[in-house]
Amino acid sequence: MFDESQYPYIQAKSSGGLWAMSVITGTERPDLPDTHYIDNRIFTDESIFAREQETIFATAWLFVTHETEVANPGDFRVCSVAGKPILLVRGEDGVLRGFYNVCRHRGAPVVRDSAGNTGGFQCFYHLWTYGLDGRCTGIAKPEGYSRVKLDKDDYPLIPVRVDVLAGLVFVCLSDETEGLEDFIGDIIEPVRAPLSDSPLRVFHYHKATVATNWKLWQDNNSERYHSLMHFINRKTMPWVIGKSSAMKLNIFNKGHSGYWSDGSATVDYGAGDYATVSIGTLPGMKKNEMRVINLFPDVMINIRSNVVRIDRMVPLTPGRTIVEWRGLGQTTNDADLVAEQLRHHNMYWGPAGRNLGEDTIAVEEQWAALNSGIMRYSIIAREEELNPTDDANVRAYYQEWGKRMGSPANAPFSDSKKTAAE
Amino acid sequence: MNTKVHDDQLAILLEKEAVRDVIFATAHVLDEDDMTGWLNQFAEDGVYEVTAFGLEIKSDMVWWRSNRGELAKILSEVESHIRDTGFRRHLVTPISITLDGRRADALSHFSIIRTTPDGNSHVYAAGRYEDKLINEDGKWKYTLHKAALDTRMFEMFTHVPL
Repeated sequence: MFDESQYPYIQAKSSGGLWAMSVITGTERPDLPDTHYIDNRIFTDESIFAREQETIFATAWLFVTHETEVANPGDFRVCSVAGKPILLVRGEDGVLRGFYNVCRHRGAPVVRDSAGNTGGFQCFYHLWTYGLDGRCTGIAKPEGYSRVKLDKDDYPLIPVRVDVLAGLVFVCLSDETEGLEDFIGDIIEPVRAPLSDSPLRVFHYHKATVATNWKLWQDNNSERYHSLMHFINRKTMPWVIGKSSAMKLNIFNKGHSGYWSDGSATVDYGAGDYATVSIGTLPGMKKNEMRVINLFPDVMINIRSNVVRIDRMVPLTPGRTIVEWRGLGQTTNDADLVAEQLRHHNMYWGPAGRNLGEDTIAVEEQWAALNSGIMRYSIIAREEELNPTDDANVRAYYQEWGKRMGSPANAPFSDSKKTAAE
Repeated sequence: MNTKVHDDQLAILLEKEAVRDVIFATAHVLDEDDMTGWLNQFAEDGVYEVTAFGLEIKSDMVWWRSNRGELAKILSEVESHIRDTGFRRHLVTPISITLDGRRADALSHFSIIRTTPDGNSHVYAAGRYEDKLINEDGKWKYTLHKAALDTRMFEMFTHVPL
């Protein structure tokens, strides 16, 4: 029998103690608007994960690489989108194309390297060959197909949609999705100049398999007030807290959001004794300014004066996610600027950065706790005039998630046909 | 037996042994979470660097580069971070040491075993130390202590040197 005398504060709240146990188990729906809490099973349930792959990752425009990684004819890059292997390649005509990285003969990968430069592709298994434009250019021992009149022209690589915006290369697996510019919309504007108005280079790339759900990483990148967890941010970002802030959340259609200011919410590097890291401010940015946009479903672009960080994700299972991190800066021959770009980026966001390790620990331990099933609902209920401590951007994200999934994030099994664990 | 040659060879061996001692001590103090002891292995103008080759971007990458002053600040703040609760043990194999007067180049292979709080051990990182040292008042110290990583995917990121 539950001894309520051990928990007098629960007795006091429960008007007689009749639902004290349910408070402890955390299965009661919060007494909040429907948009202000989410069902934690969206982070752990296998059937929801599978539906996300179909309804979100297979239909959205997804950032996959930066155009400088495939700048020259013959440059190729492979990646994974919605669990599908994708090959991007720049043709001799300068056009960037995308294909499924699957040989039309028996399905082996056409490319086994993650990146490179080539004049064409040859499947390693049975040696079918393809041009940079995807045409099948050769079949080993073609006479074997003469009786059935197999024509290699009928078997090009299977194409996928590719488009570029502000140097960012996106892939979309659906023909029905709107164009990239319409999908992204105006959220690109605050970062267009720093991403487009000077030549950039990708100087950093690393990835890790993070033991968390992919949305928890996007939450971490969106929700601003966990900044208080970061030792460095507590010293250098005083505008995160307070009743009003120069830094504001900005909510856009289709689940995109960001936070930036008119330039007055700068990072106080001096307070952290890191004042020199901000030389070489990118076009359109004020000195020491910070701008962040989060693109639905899985991208963050974080720009701090002279460096850009871009995150993308490859969800593997409900509790395992590959996160890719890129660092970009202006192409320059100025050795001092290169050194400061590196120092600035690495200080926060490298594998030995001050912040990144803290973030991954947070989302991994959060997911492990959520996966225990103890607490059914998470709260995203802060309303603070779009200050950085507001949850409005996270709510907008889950509104879009619910729209695409066909059931809201606070009742993800509400459609009986989709019910798996209710 | 030429005594002079013998003495010279012995001196070289002793100096190489002294460099090895620095390499082993560096790993040991890290394993003991002794950041002051680690920092003391550096010359005043010493630099610590972590590098990797980005196969995906076809480029060498610098993941950490700090001089001694910066290291002192960063390491003094390690305890303030939310950080890995596992512990690490270095296995270091010196491969070659080349002496040139007061200076030395050393190449070592390393692997780091990480043990989680519940006792699960696994290889955390592997790579090579590509070190440059100087002899200051009879003590070998790093002018460059560089961890060139083979490992590019970490299970847990790091607030302390590798």
